[in-house]
Amino acid sequence: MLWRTIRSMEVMAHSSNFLLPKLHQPAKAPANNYTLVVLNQQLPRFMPRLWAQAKMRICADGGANRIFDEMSQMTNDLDRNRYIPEIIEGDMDSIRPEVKRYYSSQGSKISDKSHNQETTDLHKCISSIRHRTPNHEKPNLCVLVTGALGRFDHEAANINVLYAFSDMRIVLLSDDCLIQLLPKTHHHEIYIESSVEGPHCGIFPIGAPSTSTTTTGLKWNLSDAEMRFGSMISTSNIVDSDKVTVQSDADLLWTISLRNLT
Amino acid sequence: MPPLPTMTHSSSFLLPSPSPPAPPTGADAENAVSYAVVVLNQRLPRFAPLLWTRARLRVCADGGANRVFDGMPDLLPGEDPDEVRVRYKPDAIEGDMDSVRPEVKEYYSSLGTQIIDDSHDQDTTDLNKCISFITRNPPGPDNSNLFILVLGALGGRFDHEMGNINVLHRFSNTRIILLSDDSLIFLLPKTHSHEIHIERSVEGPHCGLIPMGAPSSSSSTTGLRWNLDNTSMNFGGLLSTSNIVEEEIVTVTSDSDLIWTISLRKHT
Repeated sequence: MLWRTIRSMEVMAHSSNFLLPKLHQPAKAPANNYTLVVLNQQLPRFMPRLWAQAKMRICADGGANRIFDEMSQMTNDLDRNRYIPEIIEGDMDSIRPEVKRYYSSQGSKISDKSHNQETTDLHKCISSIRHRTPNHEKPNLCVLVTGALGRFDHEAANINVLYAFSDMRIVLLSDDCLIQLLPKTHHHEIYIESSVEGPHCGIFPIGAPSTSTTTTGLKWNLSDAEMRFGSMISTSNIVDSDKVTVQSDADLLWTISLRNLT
Repeated sequence: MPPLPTMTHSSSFLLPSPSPPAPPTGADAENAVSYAVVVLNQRLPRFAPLLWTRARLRVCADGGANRVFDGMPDLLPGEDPDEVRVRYKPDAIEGDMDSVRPEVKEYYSSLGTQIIDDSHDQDTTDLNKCISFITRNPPGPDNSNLFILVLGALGGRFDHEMGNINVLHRFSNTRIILLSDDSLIFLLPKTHSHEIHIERSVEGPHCGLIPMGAPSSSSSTTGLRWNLDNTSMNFGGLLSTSNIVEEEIVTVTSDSDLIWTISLRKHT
C-alpha cells in the first residue's frame, strides 16, 4: 500500500493483485500478504487459490462448515487436512459440532465469542485481526472476506464492518464482484487488474450523500458531481483505463466485477 | 405537528392461492390490489410461477426473458415445457437488449410480446425503464393500488443491486418490492408511519431496517425483538440487522427513508 500526498490529501492506492496467481504478481509489488476470512455462504469458485495464497485463514463460525463441506469438491482433493483454518472465531451458533471437533483436533484455534451478542461474526474477526497485528504492520494489513453477500440484512451488516474499520483495508469478495470502502479522508488511486476484474464498476454513497465527487478513468466520469440515493448514483459504469481515481466529500463504496478467476 | 398518515404493508402475494384467483367484484374491485411482475436477469426464485399467475402485467428486463424462457419449465417439471412457455409469456420485454438471446426475443415476439428497445437510453437502468413502463401502462384503473414485484433484484453483481435499490428511492411513491430466494426488501418512506403485517407462514423471523443513503437520527418500532426507540441509525454506527419479528404487526416511524428487509422461509 502506497501513501503519498497530493495537495493536502493523502493518496491511498488500491490494487487487486492479490487476485492474480502468485506467478503473475509484479516482481516489485510489496509482499501480498492477506488474511482470509470465510463467512457462512457458498464458497466462491476461486477459493482454492485464495486459500493457498493467504498468510492466515480465519473461518467465521459456519464458514468452517463451508470449508469442511465444499473445499474437497472444488479441489478434487479428498484430504481435508490440507485445508485447516488457523482460527475459527465467532459466536459458534452455526458451526456443526463435528466440524468444530475436527478442526480443533487438527490444530485450529477456536475463539469462542458467544458471550458477545452485540456484534456480527465478521466484526469479531476483524476486531481480533486488528488487535493481534503489531502497530508497525498495520499499514500493510489486508483482509479478504468471502461470503459477505447473501441475505440482505447480513449484507448490510457486513458492509457496515467496512465503515466501522475504515482505517483498515478490507475487501469483500463474491463470485461476481469485489466491494471496498473509499474513505473520504483520502484521494484514491485504484489500479485495475484487467485480466481478472472489470469492466463493470460502480460507486455508491450508502452512508450519506456526496455533494462533490470527482473521478478519472471511467467511461462516465464524475466531475464535482452530487450523488445521492433517490437521485444519481454511479452504477453500470465501465473502467476505461488502467487507473481509476476517486475523490469525494463522502465515504463511498467501490465495486468492480470479477472474471476469469480460477 | 400532525401525525403522519399510515401506510400498510403485507406480503400476502406470497401466500399460495386457489388457482385461478377469483377476480374481485363490486367495491372490492375498486380497492383491489393489482400486481405487476418484473423479471431481471438472475435465476428465477422458486415462487416465480405463483407471482406470475397473480400478476396482471408481466415485464422482462432484457435478459430476464432468457430466465423465464429457460427457468419456468424447470420450476414446473410435471408440465410440457412448450405449454409452460406459452402460458408464461411476458407482456413486454424492455431494456437495452444486450442480454436477451435473439431466439428468445423472436419466440416471444411471435407470440405477441411487446419488444421495447431502449438501447438509446444509457442513463437509466433496465429496471428503471420497466418501472416507468408499468407506471405509464398500469394494469388496473390507476397506480393507487399497484404493487410491482421484482424478481432477481438482489444478489449477483453488487452495482446492479445498488441500482435496483436506488429505483425504490427514485419511485418512492410507487409500491415496489424487490425479491430474491431468501429475502424481500421495500422502502418505508419517511413521509408515512408504517404498519407491516407479517405473514408468518412465508416470511420471517429474521428482519432488518437499513437507512440507505442517508443517516436516520430518530427511528422507532414496535413488534420486533430489539425495538428502536428514537434511535439513530447510520452506516458507521448502528443498523438494525439480524432482528427478529415477534408480533404479527411491526410498526416503524422514522425521520429518514428506511429499507425494510425480511427473510423468506425456505418452502415459500
